[in-house]
Amino acid sequence: MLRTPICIRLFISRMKYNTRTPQKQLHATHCVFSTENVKKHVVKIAESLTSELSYSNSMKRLKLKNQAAVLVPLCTVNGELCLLFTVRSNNLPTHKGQISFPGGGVKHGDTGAVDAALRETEEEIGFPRNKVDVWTTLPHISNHTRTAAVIPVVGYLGEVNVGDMVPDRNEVTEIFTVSLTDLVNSASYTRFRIKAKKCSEHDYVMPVYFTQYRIWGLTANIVDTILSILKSDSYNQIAEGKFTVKVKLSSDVKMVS
Amino acid sequence: MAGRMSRSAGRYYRSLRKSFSTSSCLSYVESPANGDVMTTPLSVPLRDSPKPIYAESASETFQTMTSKLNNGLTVTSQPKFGTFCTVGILINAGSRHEVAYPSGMSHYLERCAFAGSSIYKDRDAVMLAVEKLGGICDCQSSRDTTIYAASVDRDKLEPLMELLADSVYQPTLDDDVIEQARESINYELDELDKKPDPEPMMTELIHEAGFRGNTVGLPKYPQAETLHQINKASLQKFLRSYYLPERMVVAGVGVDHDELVALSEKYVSAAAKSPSWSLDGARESDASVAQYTGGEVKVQKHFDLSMSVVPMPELAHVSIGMESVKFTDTNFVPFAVLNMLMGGGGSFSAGGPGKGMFSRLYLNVLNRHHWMYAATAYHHSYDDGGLFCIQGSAHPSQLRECVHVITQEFAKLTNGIDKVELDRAKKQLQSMLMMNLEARPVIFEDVGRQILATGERKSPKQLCDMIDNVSNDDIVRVARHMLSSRPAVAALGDVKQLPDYEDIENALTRPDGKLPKKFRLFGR
Repeated sequence: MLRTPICIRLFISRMKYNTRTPQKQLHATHCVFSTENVKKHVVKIAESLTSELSYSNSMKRLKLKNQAAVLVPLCTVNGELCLLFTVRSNNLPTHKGQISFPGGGVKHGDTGAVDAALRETEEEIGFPRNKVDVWTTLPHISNHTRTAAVIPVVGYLGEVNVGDMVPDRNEVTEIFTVSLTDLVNSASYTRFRIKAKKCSEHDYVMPVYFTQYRIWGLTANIVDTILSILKSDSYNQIAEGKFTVKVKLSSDVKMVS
Repeated sequence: MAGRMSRSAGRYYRSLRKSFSTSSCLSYVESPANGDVMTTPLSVPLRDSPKPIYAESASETFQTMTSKLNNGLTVTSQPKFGTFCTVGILINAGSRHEVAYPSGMSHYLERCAFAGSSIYKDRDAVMLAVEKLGGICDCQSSRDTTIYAASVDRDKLEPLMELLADSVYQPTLDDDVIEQARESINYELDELDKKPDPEPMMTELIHEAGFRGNTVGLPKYPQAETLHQINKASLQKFLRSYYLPERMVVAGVGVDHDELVALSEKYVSAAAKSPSWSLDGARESDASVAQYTGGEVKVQKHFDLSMSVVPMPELAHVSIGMESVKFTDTNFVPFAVLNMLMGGGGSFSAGGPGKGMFSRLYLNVLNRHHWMYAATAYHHSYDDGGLFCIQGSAHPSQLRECVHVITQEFAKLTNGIDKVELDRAKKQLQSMLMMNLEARPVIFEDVGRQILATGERKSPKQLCDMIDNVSNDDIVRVARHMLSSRPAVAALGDVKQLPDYEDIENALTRPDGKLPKKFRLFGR
């Protein structure tokens, strides 16, 4: 079965963006995977996620005044597919010192989420917006109290060198990249109760990645979605990108109450 | 002859006079002609006496040994001289693993421990058996570990191992035992509520504030509203999920390693294959990592002080904490030194400058502000995160000042520590470590916990060296790292005067640590 021409082609195309092949070490700067294939794969999955019924229902339930967008910056560092992160400055009013993607609120003058994400990226890390190859947008992710939602815009930055980027010190203290492989290997999870004293059906599970910094919260949620799309052979999705009923209460606990 | 006598007597008195007139007697002593015992100081050997041979302690005769059995069980032992030994089973199960269960399972199991098993029909039988072995037994559960241990005669190791394995793997969780445990817990919860001692509640609250809704932030004590959900079925499910050999360590102090391994194979491994809860059945185990969140938890409460025997002041308690590190981190020892440096306690022990309480919270806080009833620094550290906090107690009307004092103390840490102060803190920590490790039960817990958490044991000497290497830069660095995290604030009592969380957060980012001045048109 495996020897038919179609199967061989599929197998090879999967191998192309499996970044753990030994060829990686030999061709350090030469991109072994084809970005076109990766892009097609991501776009296809994003479209299927966006068209899911549960998603459009949750969209209706959100009543947000402000929209926010982040750029999910896929890039290549030494031939390996990586994600780029920023360390938020301690001068910012919220989420000081936490790890996030470049992004911010959709403001007057932006044509939409994608435009806002690209503008913020240019402001925060100095990467010109015309050099970003925008692939698609993923379904929005909200925080668990549903007071804020963020639209992740997946974009490809090409081969980057973090040392060349000039961050805006008022907003970003540091820029760093982590390869998708390292993210898979450093993945962990935490199960949260929303009421400290007892289990409830709204308890949720959140991914966390212990790289040089701890990547948690909404950012980790987005990373989780990306890894489930691009690393599905070696990664089990933790949170499904939503803070909804995630946890089935075990039957005996439910019965006794 | 008399002349000679008087001459030697004269010399004797002269040398005596000389030795008393100067501070250093040694330089004036001539080696006495007759090896005269009256004139030789004790630090110089007598000329005619044989040269002493001093005993040398061999450096690592007391090495912790560890073996891992096929089923994942780890056995570790520490040799120690003595008639008694302490042996126990440590299990990686605690309140942090209870996210999918009603809170307080481990605490409940602690109450049901040693209350009867397949060999001994009830608690009295167990106690009688342990008495015959010459000792005592106890179970203790904490946020991340549960320990079943006993101290008995050295030569009674085999019956003890049988008892331990039986108690852990074959407990009778029948209705009597469960009901008794429930009554005892109800009484305990009632006491927690009524007693003015804030200690257990404040620990719960600061953990809840620092690690909101996850792992170590989950309550350790059973909660009144879910206590009825703890029954034989849910307890067995917990045991089935977490009481697995690969999550356990058998530790012994004062025992022979090979003997301990053989007995563990014989009794513990055998019992693990057929526990009293069946191995088939629902399991739910959680491997969440602790995530520090920061935040505020306030409990507005009125303490009924009319029942206390001694007149007690009305107090409000507040604890302000920040993220620290896990105990395997390189910054763990600096945090421990910082904890010693801050120190603190109750104002009753303060006693003023002459008393000898030199930690910062005594010198800067309790000795200066008479209205502070207590100020103590705590450091809670687990295998994936930690929390450093300062807890203060004062009259509810002074709660704002209390918080102010604490935030200022935190902020001052970034100015650096005086060498004398740092050396004192390091010495105190080292001596506390060494003094505690003289007691066999403490050695047992130290060995067991270290092996359970990290797989290896750092000897006391290694720890003392690590403490010695802590410098002022380390302290400033860990203080800065701590101050960059979101604070955790917990308050208990009449907390209406507690400053807003944002004000506390802002104060901790300022170099002087001061709260913003609040202008109130109508005083609160």
